[in-house]
Amino acid sequence: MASSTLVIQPPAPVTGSLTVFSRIRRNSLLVMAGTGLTVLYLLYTFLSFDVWGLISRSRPQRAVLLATDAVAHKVHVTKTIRGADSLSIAVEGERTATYETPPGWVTVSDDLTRVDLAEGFQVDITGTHVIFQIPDLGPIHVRITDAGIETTLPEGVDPPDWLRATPAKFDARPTIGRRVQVSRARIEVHRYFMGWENFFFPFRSKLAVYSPGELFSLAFSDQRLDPAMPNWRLMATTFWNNPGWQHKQVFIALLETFLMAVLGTLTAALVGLPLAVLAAANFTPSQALRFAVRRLFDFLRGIDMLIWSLIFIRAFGLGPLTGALAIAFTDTGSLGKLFSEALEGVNRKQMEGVHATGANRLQFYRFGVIPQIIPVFVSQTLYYLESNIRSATIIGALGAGGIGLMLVEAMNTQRHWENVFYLILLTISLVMVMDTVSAKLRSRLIHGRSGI
Amino acid sequence: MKIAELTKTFGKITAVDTVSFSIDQPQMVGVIGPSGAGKSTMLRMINRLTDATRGSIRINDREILQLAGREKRRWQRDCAMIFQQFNLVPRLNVVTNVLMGRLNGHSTIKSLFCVFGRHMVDEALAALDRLGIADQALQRAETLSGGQQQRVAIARALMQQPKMVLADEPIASLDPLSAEKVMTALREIRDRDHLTVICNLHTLDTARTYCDRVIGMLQGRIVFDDEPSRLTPSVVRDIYGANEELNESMTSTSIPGPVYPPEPVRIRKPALA
Repeated sequence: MASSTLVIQPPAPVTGSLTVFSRIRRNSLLVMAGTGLTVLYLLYTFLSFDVWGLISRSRPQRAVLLATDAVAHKVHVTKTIRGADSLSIAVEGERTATYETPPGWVTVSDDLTRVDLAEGFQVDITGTHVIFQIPDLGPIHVRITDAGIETTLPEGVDPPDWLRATPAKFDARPTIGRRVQVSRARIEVHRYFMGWENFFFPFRSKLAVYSPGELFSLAFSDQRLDPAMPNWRLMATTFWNNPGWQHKQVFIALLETFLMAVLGTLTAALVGLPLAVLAAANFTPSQALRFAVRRLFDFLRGIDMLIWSLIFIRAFGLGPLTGALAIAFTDTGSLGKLFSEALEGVNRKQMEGVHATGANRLQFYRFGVIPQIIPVFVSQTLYYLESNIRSATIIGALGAGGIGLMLVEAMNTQRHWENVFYLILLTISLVMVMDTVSAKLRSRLIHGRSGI
Repeated sequence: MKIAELTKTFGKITAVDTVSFSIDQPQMVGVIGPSGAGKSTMLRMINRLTDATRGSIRINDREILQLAGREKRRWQRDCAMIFQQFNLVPRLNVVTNVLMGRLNGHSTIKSLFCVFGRHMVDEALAALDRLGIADQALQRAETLSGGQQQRVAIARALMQQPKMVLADEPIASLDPLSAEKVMTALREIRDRDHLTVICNLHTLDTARTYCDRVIGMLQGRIVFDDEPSRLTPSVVRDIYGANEELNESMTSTSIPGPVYPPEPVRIRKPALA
């Protein structure tokens, strides 16, 4: 076969090719201009909001501290100097979680208390004299004298940045998990441990000392720890009434938030649907009525849920019902608008088919209209329910109750970041569960074998 | 049934113009005519989906056009309607669609919750079985083919226990094989149940094959009303208002597509304003 070279001849221009080309050129200019404007705007905001200043002023260390607090707990070793000379070792410094006998990492002899902070870190307390051993640096001596707190660093060492030493207070935190504070009244050593302390059983409970395996065999054992009830029930009640983590109260609060969202969304959907019929052009011929209902939707939706809840808290006081009402008000506006749009898009043919059988008005709506808007009704209502669980948390924080209020209280105490983290985790899992359940429900109702 | 001077005007347009005819015994009537001749409007007026402007429809000395409320709905059940686009509820299953034929006479509360008795369901299944689609009873109507959906619609009509069946272009959106099944089913309603079937058609051959009587309409008026055998080419030409010679195949469903010669590409420059 003879090989030949393919030569592409530019075709003769078709009449009007210039018009087509200029159209395409104009399109590309538009796209470029749009992109350019967006970039310019971002540049402007970057400068006007002083993003550089924000970054330079940020303190990532605080974030690390909060994160540590969320997943770890600390044990305080406290020695009081004034008054009765006493030593106490307690989880988070709480009186209800004080060790009767010191744990292995604290040794107490006649006048020396030695706190082992692991990895070479160690604190020795003798009377009012503290020696903080730090690997690679040497011992720091701290003495409480009448003149104040006297700090002596090893020779030839510059004061490190994790150390604050003034005559009034000594505060050293060489690592995230170790801290020594000395004031004239007391000496306090903190050691951090991973995990949430006493999550299942309170510190003082008989059950707190067992390992998971032991607990498992104990649960089904006939030897009762408490003669009044079987062991599994003792475990359940101890867990349920744990005062630190408040499982019972948390559960009730979570339920309250969930019910607030369900009640509010359901009310909004059930009130919104009939109102939507009044707002749909193909069902309500009266333009005045339609206009009125639409403006009502705008009004309900235009005022944010938070504003509604503030108004209702003023009017009806605190409580979950107030929150549900705020949700119902806002979402009647949103769902009503969505439903009325769905109603305006219904297919006339199937409605006519039902009408021609001699069905009465209610039967006509039931079979001619409802099956058509069920998909929109179900999926939108479920989506709003899901989103309202988040909103109910926020409304709760304003005072309506539920998990939101608990969360804000836990945040306000500043100490229990692990509680805050736990509550956030619970809220997230509730939203995730709702998402899964509603996806299942939606596909069952919309794509299932028989519709409604 | 006696229809007299039935007229419908939409604004200035007269869709149906003083139409009069009567049906004395059960028969299958085919209504033919070009689109816009008023065939659909006439059927819709008989079923009372559309209100007539003037005229009367009397059955056993009862004026159908005067019916209102409950009586009107009862009449709508008595004259079952079949549509070109089937007009089923696609998301509901087939048997529920058939059961809807009995909504009139069924308790409102029960129908709101889709409660139907055993004997009603059996009846619906029997109607579906008669049309050969009982196997699909629990499928959603939207999953069926066009021909099957139209047979579901006929089953729904049967469920209405009608005294008359109206069919508005029942086979216009179907393939020839499905069309034949649907027409056979309609003919069977006339032969087996001895009911009058009025059927709008746009194919002459169908009207010839299945109907006892053909009514030809043009611009809202009846221009032909006789046995199908009297449909001569000149009559057909009158009905379809064609001046040049009208080939019968033009009104058949199986028109071979005309072949147009390819035209050169021309892009018109938009005029500057």
